[in-house]
Amino acid sequence: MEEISRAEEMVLLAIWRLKEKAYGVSIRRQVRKNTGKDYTYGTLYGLLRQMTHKGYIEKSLGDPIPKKGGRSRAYFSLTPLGIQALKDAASLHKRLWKDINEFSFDES
Amino acid sequence: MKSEIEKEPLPPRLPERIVQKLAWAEDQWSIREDLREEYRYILSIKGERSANLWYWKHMFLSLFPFIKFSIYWRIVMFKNYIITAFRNIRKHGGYAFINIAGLAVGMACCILIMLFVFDEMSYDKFHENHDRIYRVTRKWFNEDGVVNLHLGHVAPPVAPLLENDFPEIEHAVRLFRQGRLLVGGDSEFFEEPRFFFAEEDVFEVFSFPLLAGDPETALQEPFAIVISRNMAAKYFGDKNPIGNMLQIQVGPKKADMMVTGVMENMPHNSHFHADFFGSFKTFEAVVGDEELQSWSSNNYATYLLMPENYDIVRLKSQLDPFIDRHMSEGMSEKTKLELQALTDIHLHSHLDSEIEANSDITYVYVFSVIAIFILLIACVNFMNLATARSAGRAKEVGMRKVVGAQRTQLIRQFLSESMLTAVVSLLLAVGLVFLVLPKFSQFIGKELSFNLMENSQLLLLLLLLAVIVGFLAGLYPAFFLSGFKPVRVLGNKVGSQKKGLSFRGALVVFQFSISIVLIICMSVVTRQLDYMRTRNLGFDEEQVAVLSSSEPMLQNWDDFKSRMLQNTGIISVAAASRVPSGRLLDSAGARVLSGETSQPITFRIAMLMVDYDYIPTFKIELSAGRNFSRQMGTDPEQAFILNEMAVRKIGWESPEQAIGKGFGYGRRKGQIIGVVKDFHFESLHQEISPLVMFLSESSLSQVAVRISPQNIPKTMGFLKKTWTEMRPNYPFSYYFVDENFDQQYRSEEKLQQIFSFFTLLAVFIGCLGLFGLASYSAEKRTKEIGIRKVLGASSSGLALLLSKEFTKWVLMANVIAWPVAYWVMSRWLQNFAYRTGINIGTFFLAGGIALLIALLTVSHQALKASLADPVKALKYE
Repeated sequence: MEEISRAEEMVLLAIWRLKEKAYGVSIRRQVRKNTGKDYTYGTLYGLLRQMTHKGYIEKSLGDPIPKKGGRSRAYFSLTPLGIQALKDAASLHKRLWKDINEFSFDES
Repeated sequence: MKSEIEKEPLPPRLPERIVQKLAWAEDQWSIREDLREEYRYILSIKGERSANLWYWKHMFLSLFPFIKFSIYWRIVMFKNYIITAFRNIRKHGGYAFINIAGLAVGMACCILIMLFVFDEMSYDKFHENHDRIYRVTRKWFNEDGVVNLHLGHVAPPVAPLLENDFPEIEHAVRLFRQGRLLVGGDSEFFEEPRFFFAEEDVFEVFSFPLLAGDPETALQEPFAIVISRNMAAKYFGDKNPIGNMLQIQVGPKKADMMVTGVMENMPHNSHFHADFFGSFKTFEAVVGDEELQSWSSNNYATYLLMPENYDIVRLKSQLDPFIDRHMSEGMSEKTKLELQALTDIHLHSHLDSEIEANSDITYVYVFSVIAIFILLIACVNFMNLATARSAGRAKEVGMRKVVGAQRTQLIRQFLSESMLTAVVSLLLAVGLVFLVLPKFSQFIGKELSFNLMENSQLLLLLLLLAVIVGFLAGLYPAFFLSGFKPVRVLGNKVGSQKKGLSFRGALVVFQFSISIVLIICMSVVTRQLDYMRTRNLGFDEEQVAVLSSSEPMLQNWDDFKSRMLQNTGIISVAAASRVPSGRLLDSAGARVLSGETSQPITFRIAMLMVDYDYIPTFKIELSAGRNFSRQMGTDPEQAFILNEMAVRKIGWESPEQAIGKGFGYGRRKGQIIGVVKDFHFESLHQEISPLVMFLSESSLSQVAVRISPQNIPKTMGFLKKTWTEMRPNYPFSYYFVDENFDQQYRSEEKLQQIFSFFTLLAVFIGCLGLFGLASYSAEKRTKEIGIRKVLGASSSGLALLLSKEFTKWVLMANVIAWPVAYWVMSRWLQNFAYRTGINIGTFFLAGGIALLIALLTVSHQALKASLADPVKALKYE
């Protein structure tokens, strides 16, 4: 399977952590909290669309927000394909870092 | 609760709008709400200023990702369009083939014509100073102000005097073309027609790069010569020609010239081509001062180099006083100098003397129009077929709409599809052009190059062409198809939409109008050409060979002639200054003499110097009087023969009346002894001009030999032997008068051939489209035809039914095409002094041909449909 990019990985993880509460604002906050990266909504929605198209996440509409003419907010959740992609990314990390102690770099 | 919501603080409007515009339609709302939420949050903790600031900043930072992703999606969608397009091409191979083939052929024509037009426009532009070089020309007027002669060459004093009087002229350079000059290397002599004597600053004015030698000094000395690369190879092979000698020979005079430079061969897009530039000082030394001071020897092509940004009108306005000053006061009423931009010469100049035959801007226009027409026809095909096939695509459009495609997206899809077709066609067209270019070059008589690598401008233009064609052709189908209502098309309600049909009808009418116009033009051009070729010229132009005379021949002319006539193949021999099929460019002042009074003639009478046998040799008919006679001792000095045109213009009522009248011409005085019937000395472009013939012993440079039609090769062999004896060193060359006349119609002949070729193509492309349309319309009506058949309709009746529509369209096309063709052709025919009329039959014929072709195209489909098994037809769909 195609490997996901680092940005995709971060967004997917944020959605996973947020469970049912993953929508634009919360995803952006979560990413910032975890990584310190401040994505713009342009980038965020671009990634979300791209990953929807690839089938990692899906969009569902929640209850209409309480507001005049309020529409339903779009929530995002991981598909099994998305979960698999995250698992692959994690195991790749593990394999890459196997035998390497974080402090080994300092000694050399 | 409600009021609370309305009090909700909103972010600044402008950045919000921008974000909305950029966001993908589906996410617009979510993004807006997310941003508002965050804006309110920042507002609540940091205040309005920083919240606004944050919003602006966020908007700017979003710009790049928005654009990046939108490009990404465009590409994704475009891939999908292309895939769909390819599937369509595979599924409907026939239609796709018609589309692509039609477009490709149309584009190939367009490219060929474009190459031709570019080439025509490029003449003389390779000179670095091309925009400030002017040629001096000279006009003569009749007393009534009509121009009777306009030469591209002027008298030798003009250039130095201009340079002296107008210091702003940077350089003035004279070129003298020396015809029939022999050049000899070590052993052999060749006749070199492209030999010019040129003044030393010729390389300052024109950009003819020198491969060897110094352009500034190359032509400074007498007996210096610059030769082209080809000539260097011809005379010197691999040797370095610089400093070597070439011998030149004009008549009895010989000179040894030293090669001081080798220049690059002149590019074909130059209005003259020189292989040799002899230094002008050589020429001066040979001809002497009298010639160089003469105002009547108008044989010098004269070019001026003006300063940059010089307003040429200033110089033009001073040319009349210039003539008055240097010739005589008031002379500018009879003759004027004019200036002609160098780059205008090739396409706009049709003077009575040109160094080489020029082309004509009309052809450039005509071909450009044809190119556009053909392309339009091909585009129309595409539109027609695409809309006709709309029913087949309707379901796809419906599905796309149902799953959320917007109209703009569909338009984009169909436009990308037509552009893809256009690009594929362009590739094919480029291949086609490479294939036919050698033939085409040969046909139009010059080497066109089609090098896309070197000519990035051309490449760009071609891509632009593809895009424009794709856009034009795809526009209507795109709007038409994208307008379908999903519910209707998915419910299978797309059938014969009347609107689509009438639009297609209009397109077919348009296509056929163009085809019919082209057919009519083609036949009128053909008729005019036939007319010119077969018109009775007023003398017998067949079997007359023309050769050059030589000194020894003319010195013992009568002996020579009787020796010639002993050969049974030779019927008669005559010498003259000019022979029919050439031009009549010499003239002198003429006057009518009665007693002591002398009445000058105010119009130009062209002169022709002949011998006793000229009139019988050409079988020119006398309408009154007699031919020159050896028995009359006064004839050589005093006899004149006029043509009827001259007699009429002078005002004598009949040819008989002219006989015996006193007449003066130049320095001669005498009587008119005969009048000949008008005959076409010049080509049929020219009106028959007033003409006077008289005997002369000098200036008889041409020998006309009428030979018997039997055993021509043997006679020519004899002529060759005799001529080589009489003119040693000169190569033997001759031409036949009738062939030479035909030569003059070559540009018309080419026009006719090109017209025929492109007309055929236009009709062919049109038919391709019609064929597709007919097969489609037959397919659409399969059920109808089945039912009609079951109910007892005959096959022929059905075929007629199916062809009726197309017949109607073609007839309508005639109505549009006829007036257009009439207007165009009557204008074209005005170029000819002698022309055929436009025959109404031509129009009916063209209409008939178009109809026949259309019916033949359609009938195949109509027959197939009407002969089909009705059971199958009724099961259809």
